[in-house]
Amino acid sequence: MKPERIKFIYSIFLSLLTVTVGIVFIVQVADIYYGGPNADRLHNYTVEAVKSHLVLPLIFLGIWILAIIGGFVFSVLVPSLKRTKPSADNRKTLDRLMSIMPCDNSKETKEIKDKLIKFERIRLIVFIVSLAIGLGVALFTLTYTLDPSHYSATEFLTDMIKFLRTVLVWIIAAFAVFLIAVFLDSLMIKKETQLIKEAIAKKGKGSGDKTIDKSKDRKKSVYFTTIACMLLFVILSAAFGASAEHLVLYVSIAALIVILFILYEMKTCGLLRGKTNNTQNLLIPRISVALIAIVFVVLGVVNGSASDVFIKAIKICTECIGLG
Amino acid sequence: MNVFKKIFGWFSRHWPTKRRIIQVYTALLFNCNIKGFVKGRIYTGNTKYLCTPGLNCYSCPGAVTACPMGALQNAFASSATRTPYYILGILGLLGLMFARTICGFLCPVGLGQDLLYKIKTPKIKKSKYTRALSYVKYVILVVFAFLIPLMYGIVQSSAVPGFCKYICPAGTLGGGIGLLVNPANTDYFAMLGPLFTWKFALLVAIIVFCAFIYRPFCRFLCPLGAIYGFFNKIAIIGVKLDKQKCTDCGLCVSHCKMDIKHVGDHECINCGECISVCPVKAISWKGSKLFLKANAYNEQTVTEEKPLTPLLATASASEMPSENALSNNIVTESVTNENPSIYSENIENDETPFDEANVAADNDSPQDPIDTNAENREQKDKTPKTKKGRNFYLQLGAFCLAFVVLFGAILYYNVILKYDNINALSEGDVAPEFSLQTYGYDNSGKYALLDDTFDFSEHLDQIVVINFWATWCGPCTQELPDFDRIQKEYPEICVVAVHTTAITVPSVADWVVNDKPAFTSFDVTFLQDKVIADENSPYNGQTIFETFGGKDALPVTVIVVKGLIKKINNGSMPYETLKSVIESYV
Repeated sequence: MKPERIKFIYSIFLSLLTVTVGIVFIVQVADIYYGGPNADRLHNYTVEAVKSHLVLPLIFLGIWILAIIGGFVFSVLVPSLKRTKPSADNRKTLDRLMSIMPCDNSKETKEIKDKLIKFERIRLIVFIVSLAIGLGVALFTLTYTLDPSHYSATEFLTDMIKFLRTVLVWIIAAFAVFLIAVFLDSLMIKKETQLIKEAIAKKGKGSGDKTIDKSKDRKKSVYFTTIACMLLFVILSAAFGASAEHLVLYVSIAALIVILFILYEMKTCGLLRGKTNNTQNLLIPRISVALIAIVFVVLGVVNGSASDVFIKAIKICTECIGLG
Repeated sequence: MNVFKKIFGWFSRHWPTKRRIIQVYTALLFNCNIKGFVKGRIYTGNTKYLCTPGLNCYSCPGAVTACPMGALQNAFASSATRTPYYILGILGLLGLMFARTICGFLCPVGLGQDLLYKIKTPKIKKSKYTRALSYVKYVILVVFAFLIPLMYGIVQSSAVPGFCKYICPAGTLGGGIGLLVNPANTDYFAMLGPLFTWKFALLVAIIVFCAFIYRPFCRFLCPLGAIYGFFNKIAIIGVKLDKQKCTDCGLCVSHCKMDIKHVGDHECINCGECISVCPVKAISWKGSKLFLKANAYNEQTVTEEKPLTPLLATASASEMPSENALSNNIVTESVTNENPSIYSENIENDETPFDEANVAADNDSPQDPIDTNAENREQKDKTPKTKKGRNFYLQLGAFCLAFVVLFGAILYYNVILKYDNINALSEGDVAPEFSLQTYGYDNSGKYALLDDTFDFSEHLDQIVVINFWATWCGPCTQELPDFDRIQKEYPEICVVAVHTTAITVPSVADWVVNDKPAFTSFDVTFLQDKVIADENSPYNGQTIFETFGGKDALPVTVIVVKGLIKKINNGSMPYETLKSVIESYV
């Protein structure tokens, strides 16, 4: 058997073994907690229970370690040249192809151009929808987390579970939408790239068509989408009977997000920097940050926040290390 | 003989790089309290005023400094009473100096992930999706590391370090498992419950992922990396890109295993592996100057059109190259003048033209990561011998200094520093008599530490429940209302809450009045711990907390029945458990 084939089989075996070891560990720990003698699951972790449940995972762990060592020894004796293919950034490729696509007035070119515009519009819509959903979830998460009524003195565990169930679900949903948007965006880019390549193959290169590029529309859409989302959220909250304090909170957060977006946009346009050349003078920001940091450290020593760090560090934070 | 040659050859090709050596060195330096692992105790000395640059749990027995994330969350939790200037200043200084170079060189968690990634499993390469998921760490930073501790601190005056409690694997591995494996800490097992189950499962999942994905924790979960990422552009130490030389070939980005869009952005950990990949030597380390053309990358110029390459200009419709060749061709164009023979062959085979550099970088070759590619190494040979000699002596000096520091630290923490020998009681022992000052309202109506004392000897015929707590301990302050409930339900027993001896700013009395005024009306008697100063006593020099078996963890509950210690409980004691124990003795 060729060494490459052996290595391939070994890598599959090792990956399955790695996952198996992980699963075995997790199952054993879950078994101690859920399968212990106490129905209320308190004090199910005893030294004896842990010792008895450790035997199987340690056996698997030993096999895993031996497999890793064996793999390393084999790679020493039979080295192979690694090839890493660089993966091109398809957005940059698309930009470059757009700059050389044919721009004659023939029917075929016009059809291709219409398709490209259609794909670009789809990309823009996907971007706006994902942005709106992301902003909505961010606003909801922030307002839920900043609402003092969600933090009670006595029902700590219940509050945390409720918080995690409410907020985490929305965050996961927002990221799922984000990933779908990335997938759709790359799909559209792939289609556009293919179309342009076909056009170039048929018609030869041209001077490109800047009207297809929607990146400026994308920038404008950021403002409008952000402001629209914020307004919609506030209006809906008022419609659903949110209290005055909650509305003030929502409006404040919405305004903050809008201001941050505008500042970011101004920064990327160079308006805040005030310079248009390529050099960046880092002396002023570095000195500013250094001075502020030093002043903060001194203030921290004076106001006792340094002692806070010390006090916490010399006692075991049982929650932090999972003892709970 | 052949086998030995191969083994020797492998070792010479896989000698640790300087980056790896620095990572191992810093991991050892920040965890040099080896005695802590042996004794099962954490270090409690003055170096814990300082923070490690990377993630290193302060509950780890070996840790000699504090963790910046833990310190930050606790600072936010206390922000109702004082602004967390200190930790913000420390993070500012570290960010300014190193930014995410800390992730690449100084973080022990990063080292662990790098080593696990070397396991020969199939790897999941980065993509647009991993880039999208890299924003999860900002959500974790805002929600778990900032908002949860802040809101609980402001609203409930309770310290809840959200990230440390629910996510951080460093704490579970270094702190939790590091303490549990020591036979002296078997009483900690009683504290384990759902939180440990969740965190252990998460730790195992992250470790398994590390074998398949490069640095999954750093890329997707670490809020400290998210914070340092904001400083990457202005950091003094790191990698920089010379835009004048850069041809925008994208090799640095495609070679990098992190989710960067360009060198030096907020995802870049400044490991320097791209330096050897760049064909035009546009990437280098930032110098010691404060003012320089650092990272002259300008987003406005990214979308400028690049000049056409000869291949595209002359290609006919049938000769249209593939996408890979397109990007390769753009690369080739820029370096044709330097090494035409290497790259033209590779274009025909549709392979990456920089296999040598890639292989060398992947194999952690013995080449200096600070150096650039092979051409530069050739050029190096031509540099004046005086410069080479000076560099050698500088490096030797740095190595010697580093060795002295590490050796000195290990000697200091493990040999010179002595742990106090604590004479601790255990279950079944007779409880010693003690008297402690009480908290209450003085003659002027102010809640303060009074001269009145609680004398244990007056309660020898009772059941006495002693709860050791502290103002900064979240679980402690959360469970105290349960103890008050028990006191009200069983007035015949005596429940006392002893605040452990530690510097507190503000004072305990002020904290109770401002943050937990409900405590002032509790039936529970609040006491202040002290150091026993009785030369005739076997517990001389110890606090009451230490005498009753307390080590480094809070809260601790001791139940004394008619002078005999019946139970010492480490960790929180839920109301139901406490009630059932009391009822068994009543």
